[in-house]
Amino acid sequence: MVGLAFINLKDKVIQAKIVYYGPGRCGKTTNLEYIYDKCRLQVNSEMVTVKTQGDRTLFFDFFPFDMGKISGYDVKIQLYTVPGQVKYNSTRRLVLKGVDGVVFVADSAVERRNKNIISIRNLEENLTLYNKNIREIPLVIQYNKRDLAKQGIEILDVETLENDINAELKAPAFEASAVEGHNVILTLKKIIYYTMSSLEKQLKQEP
Amino acid sequence: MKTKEESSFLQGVESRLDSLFAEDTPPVREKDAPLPQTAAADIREDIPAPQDSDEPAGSAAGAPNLIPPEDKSSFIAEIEKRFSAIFGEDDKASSALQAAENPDEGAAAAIAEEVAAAPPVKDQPSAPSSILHSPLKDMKSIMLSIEWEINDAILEQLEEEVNKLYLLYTGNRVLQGFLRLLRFLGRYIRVKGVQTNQESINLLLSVYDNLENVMVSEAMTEAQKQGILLDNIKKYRNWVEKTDLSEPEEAAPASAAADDAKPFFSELPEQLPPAQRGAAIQFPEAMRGVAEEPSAAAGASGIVAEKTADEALLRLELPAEERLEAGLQEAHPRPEPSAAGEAAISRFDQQVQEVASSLKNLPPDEAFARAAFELKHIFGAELQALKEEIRVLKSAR
Repeated sequence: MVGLAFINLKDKVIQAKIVYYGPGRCGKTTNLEYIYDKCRLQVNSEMVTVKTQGDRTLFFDFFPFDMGKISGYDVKIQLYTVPGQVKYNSTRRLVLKGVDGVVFVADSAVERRNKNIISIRNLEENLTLYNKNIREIPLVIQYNKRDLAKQGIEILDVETLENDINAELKAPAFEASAVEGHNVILTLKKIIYYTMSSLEKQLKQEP
Repeated sequence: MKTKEESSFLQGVESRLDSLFAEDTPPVREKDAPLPQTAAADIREDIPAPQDSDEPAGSAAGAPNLIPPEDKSSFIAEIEKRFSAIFGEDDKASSALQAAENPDEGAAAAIAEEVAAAPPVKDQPSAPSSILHSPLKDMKSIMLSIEWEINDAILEQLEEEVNKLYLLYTGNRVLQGFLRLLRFLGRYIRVKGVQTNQESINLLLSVYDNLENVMVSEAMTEAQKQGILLDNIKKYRNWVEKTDLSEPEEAAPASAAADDAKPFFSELPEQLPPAQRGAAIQFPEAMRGVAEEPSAAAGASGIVAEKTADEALLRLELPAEERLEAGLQEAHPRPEPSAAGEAAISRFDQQVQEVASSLKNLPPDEAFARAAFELKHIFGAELQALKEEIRVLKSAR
C-alpha cells in the first residue's frame, strides 16, 4: 500500500487529501467556499470552517467531496485549507499530514510578493517533514486575485509570479479570481486529476 | 489495478470532474491548452507524472478539458451524462443525492482532535484549540487582524479587549502586566499611525504571543510566568530606548511619553536570569514606596523581588500611557460633555436628592406615588433640556 491516500482495495475505496496552501488572506478559504457553493445542493456534505472575528482561518477549512464510484472505486476527495499566518506553522504541518495533492494559492497583490515566496518555501519545508518532495507531490499553483487590477490595485504580472514561485517547480499554474470563481473549478479539476494520476502511478509501482 | 483499469479510472475521474462542474469549464481551445492536448493520449495509455507538465502559467486560463471530446469513449460519455444529471441542474438534484454517498464527515472532527492533541511545537507552544476556548479568543482574532492590516478600528478593538481582559483578570498580576504592555503598545501605534516602526508592531505581537503562552500553558509555574513577563518588560525597555518617542509629528503627547516611560525599566540588567532580574529593577520616585516596601519574606530572594516588580508594574499608572491617551484624544477627539450638559447632569442629581429627602417622612404608598410623579416631571424636564442642547449643537455645526 502506498503511503499517500487512503486506499482500500478490498472495499474499493480511494480517499485523497488535497490541501490549499498559501499565505494569509490569499483566498484559500474563498476557493473552498466557491467549490462548496457550486455543489452543496448536490453533495450530501458540509463544509467545516473555523473563522475568527476578523474572518481569518484559525485552524482549517474542511470539505469532503464525494465523487461517487469510478471504475468500481468509490472516490472521495477531502479538501483542506491551512491557516496562512506565519505563526500557525504547527497547524499547517498537521493539516499537511497525509496530503496527496497541494494547491498553492498565491496572492497577486504586489505587496504580498514576499509572503508568497515565504509561504512556498514553508510548504517545501513542511512537506519535507513528511518525507515528501515539493517537486514530486502533485502541485497546482493558482495566481489568485487577478480581479484586483479591475479595482486599480497594482498586481504582479504572471511572469514575476512565475519567477518567484514556479521557476523551478514548473507546476501547472492558473490565473484566477476566487471571489469571482474564475478558474477555481479548473484548479480543482487539475489537482484532482494530478493527484489521481500520481496515485495510479504509485499503485503501478507497488509489487 | 491493471493498466487498462487505471486508464479507465483516470478517464472516469476526468469525466466526473467535467460533469460535476461542466458550466465552469469553457470550451476546449487547443491554443490555450498545450498540456491537455498532448497529455490526453498519455492519460489514457500511461500515467503521466504529475509534475511532468511544463504548461506555462496563465495558459490554463482558457480552461481546457483534460481530455478532448473526440477522445472520450462511450463509457465516459455515459459517466458524463450521469454526473451532469447529478450536479448539473437543480431539477436533477435527486439523482445526485442517490449517487453521492455520505462522505467521511468524521475526518474533520478527527483532525480537530489531532490539532488539539498535538504536542506543543517550539514556535507555537500552545495548542490553537485551547485559545479558541479561552477568554483570549477575541484577542487572538484581533492580533491576527493586526498582523495583516492595522487600522484605527482594530486598534480600538484591541484597547477595548485589553480593558475587558484587564477587568476579567483582576488580581492576576502577571496577566495584567502583559495586558498593560499591550495596551501601551496599542496606544502608541494608534497615536503614531503610519510613523509606527515595524519593531513596535513586532513587539506588540511578541508580547501577545507570550501572554498567550502564559495563559494556556497549564504546566507553567508562577515563577516561570513572571520570568516571561520580565523578559517582555526588558524587551519593552529596549524598545523604549530605541524608539524615537520624542518626535511624532502629529502626536505630540507621545514625545512627552518618552521621559516617563524610560525610567520605569531603564535599569533592568541585560544578562541577569529571570529570577534575579526583578531585584535589580529600579523604579521611578513615584514607585519607590511600592517597590521598596518591606515584605515579610524579604529575605533577599529573587522571587520576592520579582513580585515587587510585578506589583510595581501593575500599580504604576504609566504617565506615558496617560500622555499617549492625550495624544489619542487629539488624533481621535471624543465628544466632550459641554458645560451645559454637565450643569444639566448636576441639576438632575440635585433634584433627585431633593425628592428623596422630601419623601422620608411620608407613608410608603404616598411616597411612592409622589416619587413617581416627581421623577416623571424631572425626567421630562431633563429630556427637554437635552433635546434643546442637541438642537443647539446641530445648529452650531
